[in-house]
Amino acid sequence: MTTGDLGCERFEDDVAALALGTLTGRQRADVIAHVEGCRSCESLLELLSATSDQLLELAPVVEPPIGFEVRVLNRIRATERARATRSRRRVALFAAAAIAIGVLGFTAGDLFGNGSPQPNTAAAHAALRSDGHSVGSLSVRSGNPARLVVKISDLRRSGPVVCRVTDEKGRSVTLGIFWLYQGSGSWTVTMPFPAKDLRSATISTEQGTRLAIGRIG
Amino acid sequence: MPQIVPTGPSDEALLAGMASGDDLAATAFVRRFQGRVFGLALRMLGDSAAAEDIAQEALTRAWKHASVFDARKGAVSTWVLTIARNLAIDALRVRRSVPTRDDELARLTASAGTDGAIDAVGTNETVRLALASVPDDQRRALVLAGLYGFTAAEIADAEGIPLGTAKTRIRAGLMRFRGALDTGEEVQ
Repeated sequence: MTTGDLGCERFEDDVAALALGTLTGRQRADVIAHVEGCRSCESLLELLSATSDQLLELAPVVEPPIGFEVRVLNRIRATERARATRSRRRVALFAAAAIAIGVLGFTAGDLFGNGSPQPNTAAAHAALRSDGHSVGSLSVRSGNPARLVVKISDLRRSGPVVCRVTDEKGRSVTLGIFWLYQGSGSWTVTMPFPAKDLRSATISTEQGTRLAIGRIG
Repeated sequence: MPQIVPTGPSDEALLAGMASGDDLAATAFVRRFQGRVFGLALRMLGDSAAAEDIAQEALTRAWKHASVFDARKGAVSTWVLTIARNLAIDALRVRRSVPTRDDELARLTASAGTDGAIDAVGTNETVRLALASVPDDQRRALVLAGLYGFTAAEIADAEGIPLGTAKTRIRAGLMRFRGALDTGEEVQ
């Protein structure tokens, strides 16, 4: 680290402490401000953060007290119920607001400007096919980053599936593992390359058996 | 040292199942990670009740944020353990009084251990060997900071050394550890 103009030497120790998560308050803010403007320290922080994560592999495995699993799952379910209740309330509030706006005789366009449509960011759309049958759809949305929306409705299986995309040069990238429940599932994921470069997306089992493919263009 | 080899769906698959609301995936996920998350919290806090609180919260947060996990940025296990570690550090900041015994630090680089632990050292031999190759004083500083969440000032107090020395040991230890990991990975 020798970009002397930015005073990197002064931050060397603190970049390591930041990577380990032990820097607090003003010191932390100062180091982050420096790192944001210094590519060299940013790279070092990235490297040391990944190294610091490896230390967690030394965490011992200890059987938790009896009943731990049940208590965690109950907590998760309680959080899920609270989230669902909040969501229902939001929907109800939104519906009430929409009705109120309707009664007052306004349209969204009247309220927010000239009424011109929002730019459509959908870059491409294709069917996902399995054995010649349509089992879902792909929708690519341009932007930075681009996003891929995958909807599967009829793949006749439950469990994990792997989603991979291929660009115009034939490079394949795994976007992640997703979950189908009774043949259905949907997800949105950021793309590793621009939307215009996407040529196909495949859905396969974790063992690599292809289940469906969607081709763009 | 016994290796823990997960069977069934991958970690990423369980996380994806959990994100989609699948109850069985959530149960399997908790079962798979509870020992490591609780073990880390217990090691950091030294108190079973506090460790259980932290472990429960960490797994609940993993469930809450499962849909935004990005496998390209790292492993699920690291992600979950980082959540637990950060929560434990917050708890320690409130009640920092945990004595970190020399034998506990030594055990982190030893080849085996018991005291109720199923696998007292963890699952990654490469990491253990890499840490063992770091000089003693740097290793102590690194483990205190990286695994116990001590700040440089706290390490300086605990070790009776100047603050600058503590900072240097942490950085030098982390760099040595990085170098040893790189070498170990190349050998493997």
